[in-house]
Amino acid sequence: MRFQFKTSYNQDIRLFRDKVDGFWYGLLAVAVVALPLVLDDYSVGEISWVFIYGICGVSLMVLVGYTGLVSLGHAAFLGIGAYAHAYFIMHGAPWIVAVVMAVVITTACGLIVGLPALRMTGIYLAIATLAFSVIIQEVFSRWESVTHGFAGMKVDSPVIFGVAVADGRSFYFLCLFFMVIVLWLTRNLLRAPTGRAWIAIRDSEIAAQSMGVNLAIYKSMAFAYSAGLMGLAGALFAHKIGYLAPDIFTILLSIQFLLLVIVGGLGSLHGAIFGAIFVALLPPAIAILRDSIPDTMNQWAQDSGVTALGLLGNAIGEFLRKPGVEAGIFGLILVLVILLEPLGMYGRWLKIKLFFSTFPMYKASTFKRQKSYMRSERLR
Amino acid sequence: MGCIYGLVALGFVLIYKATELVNFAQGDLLMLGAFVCYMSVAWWGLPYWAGFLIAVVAIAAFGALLDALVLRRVIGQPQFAVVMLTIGLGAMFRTFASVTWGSEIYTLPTPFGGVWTVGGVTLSHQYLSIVAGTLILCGGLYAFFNHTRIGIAMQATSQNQLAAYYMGIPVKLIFSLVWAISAGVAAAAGILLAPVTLIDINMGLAVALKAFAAAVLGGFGSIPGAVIGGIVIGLIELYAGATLPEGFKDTAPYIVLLLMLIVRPQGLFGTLARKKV
Amino acid sequence: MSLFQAENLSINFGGIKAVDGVTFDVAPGEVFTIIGPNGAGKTTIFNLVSRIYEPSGGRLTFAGRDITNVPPHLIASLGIARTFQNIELFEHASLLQNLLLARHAHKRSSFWSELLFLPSVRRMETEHREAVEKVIDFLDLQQYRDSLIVNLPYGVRKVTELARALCTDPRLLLLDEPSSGLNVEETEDMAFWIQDIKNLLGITVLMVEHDMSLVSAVSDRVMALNYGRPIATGTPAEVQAHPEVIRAYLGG
Repeated sequence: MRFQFKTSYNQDIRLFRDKVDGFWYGLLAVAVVALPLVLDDYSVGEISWVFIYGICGVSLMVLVGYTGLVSLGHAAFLGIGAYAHAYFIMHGAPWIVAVVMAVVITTACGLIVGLPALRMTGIYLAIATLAFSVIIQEVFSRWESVTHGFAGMKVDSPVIFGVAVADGRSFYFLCLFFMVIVLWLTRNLLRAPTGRAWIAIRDSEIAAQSMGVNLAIYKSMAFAYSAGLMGLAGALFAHKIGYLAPDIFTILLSIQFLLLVIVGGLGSLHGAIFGAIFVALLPPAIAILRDSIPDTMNQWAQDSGVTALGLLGNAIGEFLRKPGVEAGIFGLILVLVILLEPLGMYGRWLKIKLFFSTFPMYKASTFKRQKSYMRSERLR
Repeated sequence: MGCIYGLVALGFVLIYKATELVNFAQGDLLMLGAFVCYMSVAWWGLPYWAGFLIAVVAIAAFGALLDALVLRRVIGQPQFAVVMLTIGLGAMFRTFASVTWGSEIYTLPTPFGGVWTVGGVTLSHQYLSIVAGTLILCGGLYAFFNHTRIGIAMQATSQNQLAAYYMGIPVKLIFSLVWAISAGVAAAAGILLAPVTLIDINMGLAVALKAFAAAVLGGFGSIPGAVIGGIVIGLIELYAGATLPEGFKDTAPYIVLLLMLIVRPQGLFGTLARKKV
Repeated sequence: MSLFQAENLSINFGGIKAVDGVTFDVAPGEVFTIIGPNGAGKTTIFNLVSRIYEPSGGRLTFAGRDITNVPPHLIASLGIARTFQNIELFEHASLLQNLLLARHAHKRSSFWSELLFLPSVRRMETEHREAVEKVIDFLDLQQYRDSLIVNLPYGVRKVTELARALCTDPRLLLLDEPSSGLNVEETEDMAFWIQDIKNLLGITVLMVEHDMSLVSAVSDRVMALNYGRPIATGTPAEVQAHPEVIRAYLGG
C-alpha cells in the first residue's frame, strides 16, 4: 500500500498524482514511442487506429461520460470533419489549414445540433442526434460537388509543411501526437471549472443551475467541444482510410463509438483510451484467431490423437469466417461488460491495481454497490 | 407501412412504460419473428396461421426469457447503459440469424393474394391485413392495459417499482410478461411486414429506427401516440417519396421529427415532467 | 432596511394556488423560518426565490435590487445560495469537487485559458480551494474530502449540502428542511451550525423547517403558512401560540 502525503493544494491539481505515477506514465510514453521500431507495418497501422479512436473516445466521453448527454449521431461529426478536411486539401489548402477548417466546421455543426439539445434529455436527445446523422448521411451522398457522392473521394497521405507523411510509421506518430494533445487539453478542462460544471450538469441540472452554472452555455459548449474533437479525428480518419464514401458514416459507427466509451468505462479519460484499444484491436484480433485457432487445434489433435479437437477448431474457424459474426462478438462483449462490470475496463483495471497494492488484504466487497431499485427517470 | 411503424413503436412504448427501458433490439425481434414464421411455413410445410401463431408465441417466450436472464440484472443501472445493452443484444440476434439462416432474402407465402376494389380505389389484401392486424392488436392491448388487473398492475409497476412490490404485485413476473407481449407484438409486426419487404437479416434495423422516430414523435410512453406517430411517419415517407426529389423519402421523416422536437421537445402526446426539489 | 423582500408572491399550478399573495421580508443577520403543514407551499416559495419556478404574480427584491426576472443561474452570483430538501448533490463526484463547483459563480477564467490551464487558472483554482477548505474546516468534513457522494451516509450528505451552499459565499442562505432525515444528535449539530452561520459568518438565513425544537432554538422570526397563505408572523413563541396555527396543524 502506497501512502500519499498531501501537503499542497497543487497536488490535487497536478496532471500526475505523484512521482511514482509520473514514472509509470513516462514508461508508457517510452513504450508507445518505441513500438513502431519493433513492430511490423501491419501492426503499426492497426495501432494508429487506436489513437484515432482514442480521440473519438475522448470526444464522446466528454459528452456522454461527463456531461451526461447521449448522442447517437457522432459518426456524422466524424464524417463532416473527414469530408471538410478532404475538400480543403483537394482545393489546395495547406494541411494544417485543412485540419483547422475541419475542426472549425464540425464545432459549428456541434453548436447547431447542441441548440435543440438544450431542451431535450435522454431518449429525445438520442433520437434527435440520430435524425441529424441520418440527414447528414443523405447530404454526403447527394451533395456531389463537394463530397463526390457514392463515387467517393480519394484522400492522399498528408503533406505537412512540405514534408510528406507517406509511410505508416510517420502517420503513427502524427496520430499519437494529436491524441496526446487532445488528452492534455481535455484533462485541463476537466480539472478546471468547465469540467466541474459538466459533471454537475450530468448529476443534477437543478443543483448546477442554483450554483451558478448556465445550463445552456455549458451544454452547447460540451457539444461543440465534442464535435470539434470529432472533426480532428475525422481529418486523421480521412487519411487513414484513404477513401471517403457516405456509407462509412452510418449509425452503426456511432453505436461503435458508444460501445467504446461503455466498454472502456464511463466517466474517465482512461476509459476512453481503454475502449479505443479494445474497439481498434478486436477486429484484427478476430482475424488472427480465425486462422490460428483451427491451426493450433489441428496441431493439438495430431499430437494427442483426438480428432474431435481438430474438427472443433475447424468449426470455430468456420464460424468466425461467417459474415456478421464480428458485430455479434461486439454485441456479446457489450452485454457481458454491462452485466458484469458496469464501470468498464477502467473499473476492472482499478480493481486489479487495488488487489496488488493491498495484497493480501483485498476485499471483494470494497466495490460492492448498494442494491438499487428502479426509480423513475422521467422526472428530470 | 405506417401501421408497421406504429406496431413496432407500440412495442417500444410498452416496454418503456412498464420498465422504463428503451429496447433497441425491438427491430431484431421483429426480424426473428419473420424468420421463425418463414421457417415454419416454408421448411416444415405448416399453414400460414399456424406459422404465425408459432412465431408469435416463440418470440414472446424468448422475450420473457431475455428479461429473466439478462435484463432483470441491470435494473437500477443508468438508462443509457441498458439501452446499450439492448443494442448489443440486437447485434447478437442479427449474427445468430445470419449464422442460422444465411444472408439470403426469403419470400413468405401468404394467403392474402387478392385485391379489393372499393369505389374505384384498389387495395391489396396484404396491406389490408397490415391495417387490420394493427387495429386488432391495438384494441386488444388498450383493453388489456385499462381493464384487466394485470394491465393495471403493469401501469402501477412502471410508476414505482418498490411500491408496487410492497402492494403484492409480482414485479418480476410483470416485467417478463411485458417483455413477452412486446416481443410478441414485434413478431406479429414482422410477419405482417414480411410480404412487403421480404425477409432478410437487416429488415428489422431500418424499420426499428423509423419506429423509434415514430414513438418519439408520438411522445414516448403514450400508446395511442405511438400508433399515430407511426402512421404520421409512414404518410410523410409516402408523400415525400412521391412528390419531393429523390433522397427525401428516407430523410423527410427525420427532418419532420427534428423540427417537431425543437418546437415541442416532449413529443405530440408526451407530458413534460420536471423533477421536484 | 431589509435584505430580502417578497411582495404579494403568487404561483398557480393548473388552477391550484400553491402560493397565494405571500408577503414577507428578511432583515440582515436574522434567521427567518417558514413553517406550515405539508403542502402549504413552503418549498414552492424557495423554488420561486431561487427562480426555478416562474411566479405568476408578485415581486422579489434582494439587497435593493428587483430579482423577479433574473435567470436562475445568476441567483448564486448575487449572493443567494440554497440547499435542497431531498439532497441534490453531484453523486458521482467527490465531496471536494461538489464544493469546488459551488465556487462556479466566482469563476473568472475563460474557456481558452482553461483549455491550456494557464498559470492564472492554477492560481484561481488554489484560491477556490482555500475558500472551500475554510468551509470544510467549519463543518468538520475533513475526513470525507475525497469520498464520492454515493458512498457517504445520509447525515454527511445533508451537511455537504449545507457546505456546498456556504461555498458560494452567500449573503442569504436558503435552507430547505435542514433537519429532515437526521437523528437527534445530528439535528443538534445542525442547530449549532445555523447559529454559527448567523453569528460568526454573518449570513442571513431563510429556512423551511418542520422540527419545532430546531425552529424555536435558532429562529428570530417565524412565518406560518397554510394553503399558500401566511397565517401568522412573529417570534417562535408567538407563532406557536397563535390560534390559527394550532388549528392548521391539529385540524378542526
